[in-house]
Amino acid sequence: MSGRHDLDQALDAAPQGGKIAVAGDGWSARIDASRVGPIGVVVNRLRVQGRPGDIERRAQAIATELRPQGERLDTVEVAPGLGGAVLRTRPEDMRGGRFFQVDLDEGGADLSRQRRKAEGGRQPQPFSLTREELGRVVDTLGEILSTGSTD
Amino acid sequence: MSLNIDNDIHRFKQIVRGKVRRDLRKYMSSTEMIGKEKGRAVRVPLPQIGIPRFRYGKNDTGGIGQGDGEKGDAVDGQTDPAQGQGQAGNQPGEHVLEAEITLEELAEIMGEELELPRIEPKGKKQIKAERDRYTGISRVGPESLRHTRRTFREALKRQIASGTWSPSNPRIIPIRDDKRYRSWTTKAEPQSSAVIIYMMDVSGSMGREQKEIVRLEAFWIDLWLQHNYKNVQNRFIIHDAAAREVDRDTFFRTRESGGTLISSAYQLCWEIIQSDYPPSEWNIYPFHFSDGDNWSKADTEKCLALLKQQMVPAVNQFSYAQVDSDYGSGQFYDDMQGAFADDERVTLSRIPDRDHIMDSIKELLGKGR
Repeated sequence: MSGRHDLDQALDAAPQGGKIAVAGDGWSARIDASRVGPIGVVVNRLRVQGRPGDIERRAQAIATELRPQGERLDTVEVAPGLGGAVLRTRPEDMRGGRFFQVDLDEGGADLSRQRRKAEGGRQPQPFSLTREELGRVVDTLGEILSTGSTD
Repeated sequence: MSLNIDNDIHRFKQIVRGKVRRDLRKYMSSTEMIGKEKGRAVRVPLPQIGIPRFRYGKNDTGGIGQGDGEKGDAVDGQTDPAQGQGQAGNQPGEHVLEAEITLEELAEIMGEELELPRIEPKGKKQIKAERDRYTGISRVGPESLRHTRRTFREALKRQIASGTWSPSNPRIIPIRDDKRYRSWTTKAEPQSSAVIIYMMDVSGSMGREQKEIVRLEAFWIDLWLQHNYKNVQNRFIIHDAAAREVDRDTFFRTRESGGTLISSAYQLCWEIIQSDYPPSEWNIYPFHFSDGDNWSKADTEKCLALLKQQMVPAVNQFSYAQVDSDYGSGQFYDDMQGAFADDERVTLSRIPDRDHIMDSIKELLGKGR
């Protein structure tokens, strides 16, 4: 566990946002934030780096345990042969064409939010999380990604 | 007075064509018509005309069936104790009047409505097909090809010439010399042949609705190309991270959960072209459907190189259609547009939903290549 205290300290040190790094047991996280407030954070992208591990199992674990903004995730593509997987918010949990996407690779995972554009394609969207929720997301991903393939 | 039924038939066909033309967009975005495909015809639902008919009221003085029984008694005098469940319906059933329209007519209507240009087969792609035609008469041949009328005519001529013909006893007996047989000549006729190679991304991100859209598009594409070529073959390739060739049914039903490597499909498509369809003899139409989420930029580069250097120069037209899912669609369309924006041989289309199938067909087939 990162310890929420460490995360709070790191966030407090970057009130204008920017790249915020925090580490735990067997993992490290880098938060690309555009704003940091006393209650919440506006995140552009979040990367959690861990140990190499079983893609399929990790994708399943993320789908079960991670609930950013309360949205449930589905495994959309799982490709161990390509060394990765993609998870997205379930269609029924999407709001205003916005969804979370987790790009899982052998070393870690990226969490981002996307918006479906009316004219086709997608656009990355900053997303807000309370400090507590951000801590939970980082811890959940860190815990899943810190277990190696033999664990 | 004789009734000219041909006029009525012509008028009826005009009504059906008008109906199809008016509702073409609806038909193109629903499986209603495809589901009714039967042989070389499809069925078109028509607005029903209510035909007036007599309604019988209650007859106060009784009518047929008068006797000792009470209303509700069983006819054979036995009552059935078994009770059914629920109540009988009290609404009239719906009867949909349907008219048949041939696929050729349907293709014509679509072509007119979408203003699709006729396809010009590539000059070199005219292949010769040998065809037997029974055009002549011969004195020798197998009995199975004996021409009875000509044989008897020869026999009659001979009998009249020899004076053995008697109108009072009109018997005609052919002899060996009278026998005539159908004979054939073999002609080499030019024939335009085309192959449509459908490729579909069946990775986890392509859902049921996206596949349904592809199925509908494929039906209309087939229809148009078959209208333009006598001999059209179809091949089907599905892919996620790996590609394989499948039959039509599997093509529309398969769903995988793997990642997407589009180059695997293009590679297989190119192998099929090389082995079975020499570009000098065939009109080749590859169509690829995907949500555009390719796994990596490196694979997209590989696709673009394969298309530019090998496939596109060999085919009549390469078509890529990107189908949106709940999550929108990926980058591949933009990558293709960047690489082939000015290339007449490549057509691109975006299909946000079913309602855009008609527009997409126009984009894909509108170049007349």
